[in-house]
Amino acid sequence: MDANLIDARVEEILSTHGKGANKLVPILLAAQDAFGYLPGNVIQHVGEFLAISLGQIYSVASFYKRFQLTPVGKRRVTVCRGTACHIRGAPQIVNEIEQTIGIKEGETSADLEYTLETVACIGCCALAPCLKVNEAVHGAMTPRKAGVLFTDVSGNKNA
Amino acid sequence: MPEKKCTILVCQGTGCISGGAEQILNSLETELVRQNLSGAMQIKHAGCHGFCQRGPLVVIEPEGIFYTKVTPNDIPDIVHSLQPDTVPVERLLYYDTTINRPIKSFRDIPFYYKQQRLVLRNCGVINPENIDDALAAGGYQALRKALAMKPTEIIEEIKKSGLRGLGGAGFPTGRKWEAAFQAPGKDKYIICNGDEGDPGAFQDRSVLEGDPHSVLEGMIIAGFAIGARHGYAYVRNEYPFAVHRLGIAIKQARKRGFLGKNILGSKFSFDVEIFQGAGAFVCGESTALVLSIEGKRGMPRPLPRPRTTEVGLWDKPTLLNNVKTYANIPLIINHGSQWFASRGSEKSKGTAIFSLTGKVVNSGLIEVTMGTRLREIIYDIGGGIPDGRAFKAVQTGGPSGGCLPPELLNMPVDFDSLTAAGSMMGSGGMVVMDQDTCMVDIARYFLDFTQRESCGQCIPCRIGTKQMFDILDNITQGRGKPEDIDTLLELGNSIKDASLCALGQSAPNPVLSTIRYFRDEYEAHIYEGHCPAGVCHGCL
Amino acid sequence: MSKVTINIDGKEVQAESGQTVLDTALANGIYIPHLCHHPELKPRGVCRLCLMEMADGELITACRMPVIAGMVVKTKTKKVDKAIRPTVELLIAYHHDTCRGCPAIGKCELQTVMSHLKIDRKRVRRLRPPPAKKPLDKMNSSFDYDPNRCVLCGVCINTCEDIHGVSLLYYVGRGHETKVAFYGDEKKCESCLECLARCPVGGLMLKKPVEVRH
Repeated sequence: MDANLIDARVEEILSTHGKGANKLVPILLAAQDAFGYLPGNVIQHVGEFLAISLGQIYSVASFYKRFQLTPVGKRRVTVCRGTACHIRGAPQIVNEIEQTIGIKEGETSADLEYTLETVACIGCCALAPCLKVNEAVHGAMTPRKAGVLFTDVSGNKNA
Repeated sequence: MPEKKCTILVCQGTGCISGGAEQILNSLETELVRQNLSGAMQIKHAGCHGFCQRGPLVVIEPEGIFYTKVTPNDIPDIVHSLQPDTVPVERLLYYDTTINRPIKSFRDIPFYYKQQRLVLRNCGVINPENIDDALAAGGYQALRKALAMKPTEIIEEIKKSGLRGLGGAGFPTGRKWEAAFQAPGKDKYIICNGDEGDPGAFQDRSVLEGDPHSVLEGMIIAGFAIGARHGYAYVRNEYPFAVHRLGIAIKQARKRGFLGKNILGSKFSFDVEIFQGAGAFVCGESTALVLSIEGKRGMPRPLPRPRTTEVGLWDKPTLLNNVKTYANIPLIINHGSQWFASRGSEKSKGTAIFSLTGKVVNSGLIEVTMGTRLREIIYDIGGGIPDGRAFKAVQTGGPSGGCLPPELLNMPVDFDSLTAAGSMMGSGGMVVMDQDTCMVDIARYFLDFTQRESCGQCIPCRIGTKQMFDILDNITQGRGKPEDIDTLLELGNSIKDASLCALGQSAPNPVLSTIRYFRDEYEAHIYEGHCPAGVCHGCL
Repeated sequence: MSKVTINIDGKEVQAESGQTVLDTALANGIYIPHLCHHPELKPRGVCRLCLMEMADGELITACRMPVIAGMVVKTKTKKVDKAIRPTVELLIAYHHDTCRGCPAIGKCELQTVMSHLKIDRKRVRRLRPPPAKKPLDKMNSSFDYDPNRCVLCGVCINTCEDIHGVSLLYYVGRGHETKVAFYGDEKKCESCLECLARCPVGGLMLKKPVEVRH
């Protein structure tokens, strides 16, 4: 996204939320959703708007798991490591995906195609083990299915 | 030609949507037109029906015909079965392996009929995005009734009902309301805690997705009772459907005058806004949740301090209850405290909602009377352990709870019995484990969770949970030391006593309970380098 | 201010009403272990070392507990020891192995706590130390931050806020990854160095004068 577009989008987010300390987390969430992470200049913009120091924003942003301070991949793969998923084989799923897409948990691929992360629980425990690719949930995973899923996805990159 | 009049419910819970429930809805609409039935049939988006594992679910009312694992390819057959003189599509019915035949109506399936669905009464039955549906099911009647009562009368009803907070700790709800009512000050707040962070629990999400109006109604009544004008519904950012549907419900409630200025013509004004949690388990703790709404790091405030009911959000008196606690309020107001108090065990009234998952045949969202035995939940409702494997343990209360062994299967489940057994009600996760689950690995798993989620401000929790995790990790890798069990017990008891908030104070429970009931598994790992369940790769 | 009498470890002592038990104890020559307490700052209650046993057996931090006339508290019971000794051992396991080179030698609160509790360093060996020490953070032109010495008591943050109205120092990260940092505001720091002066351990340290090579 080019700088002007980012600025316009930030302005829009700020004006819909308004001022007040209780708007910090909602604004950061909206920015995270819009840009996939919290770019430095966006944080600066938010700080000026809310009259909060940069340190305070970083302090808050580094506390909550949802916020990323570095760019994430186009496909954000989130493997659930909830209890039900764990005992039904989530660790093996993570292994399989790490091998298929070639990055480790918490990493983003160099071409910014994938980010692989785990999350405490996405609440689909009855479908364990499950994972999300961006917002779509895939349940009843097996290492095989996970492997196929990512071979497919990368095969259809331009679809 | 005589036509059947039916309502087709398509479950739109997170579980079923992930299985393709949205496409099913679309195919159904086209197919009804194609088969010339669209006039007689009503399609309804419904919230979570509970039996998520068998999803996507389609239910045909009034008969309750229950189709499981439905795909868009099944839709022509389902629609055909709605034609006169046809029979249900047998291959999609629930097949009961104990009696070796399919069951037509969900009302005859043990998973459902052994339950007592009070809070979940509307989930999967009404369209959560349509307030008229909620109204037809009796929604907002309790609000009308409450507005004609005095606040003190409402609080008295809640106190007499014996309702206890369903967020996990089980504090008497009426006493909390009374404290918030008595706290001086004009500005007060209502907060609904939907920051369900326990891995293995999804009941708050399902209630918000399936019946958001009941939760709102409970919040509005609470606002009227304590004298608050503003409420926050704190919902995890990871629950997009819950956020979306609650947002719709709030808008519709405003339009109909249940929220906003002079509610239903009274002098009482109240509004609710949604606040999305940004991913911190510790924010389930009330003071941390309040700080996070204020735009700060969610680090709990230490005792001694005033209660949140006196000094809460923006330092004002604040009433904070769990999603399910609010969802119980309309029931109590409508049916009376006696009706409610007649259900449940001596000190835990009403029902408990569990996310029944793990190594169990039927997993999903269930609701039972407090005091129901573990065995009934796991075997009668859950259908036992799949593939003829042996039951080993059941974990309740998530990272704050513990693992209970087969000897305790006859234990009645309520707040106090779970705590006495070294576990907790917590937010209601119930994960069944079989012989292939390693209890040391499970303890390691939970401590991995808490050490990631510790806020880091107090030393026992910050370093203690990390240390317990490191020791457990060593044990599962075959690098345990003979003194490790003692060290874990010593650290665990210290962390319980010394930590600043409930997260740290309960974090050792998964370790302490597994050592208490499954010490031999720890010893096998440490002394013989052997994992009896065959899970830990370092010790096979 | 009215005076009240309380009983700490069997000793009757006078206190001003409104004072905390910890301040009262320290003023009367009774030492209670503590790291996050500073007389000029609001009590935070995060180090958990000043836990004491109340008459009903409950453990409460002395730094946040106001005195109540007639109260009886104990700071050296078995229950207190079982709660705080492992906490101190954990801190040591995560600390540098040696005090050599530490700017806090001689005034280190952690050393005071250790000698008060007679911590047995051999027992610390049963714990697993972190696999690697964390790197030194260069905070600004005048001082550095050593995360392996910091106990995250928050005294530096609160001091900065107390003196300058708003703190330039913040907690960053979560759990055992938490540290203290400026994160973007380091240029605003006037290096009053009051945070260094109040650090109970050697977490913050003056930069060594640059050696000029000939």
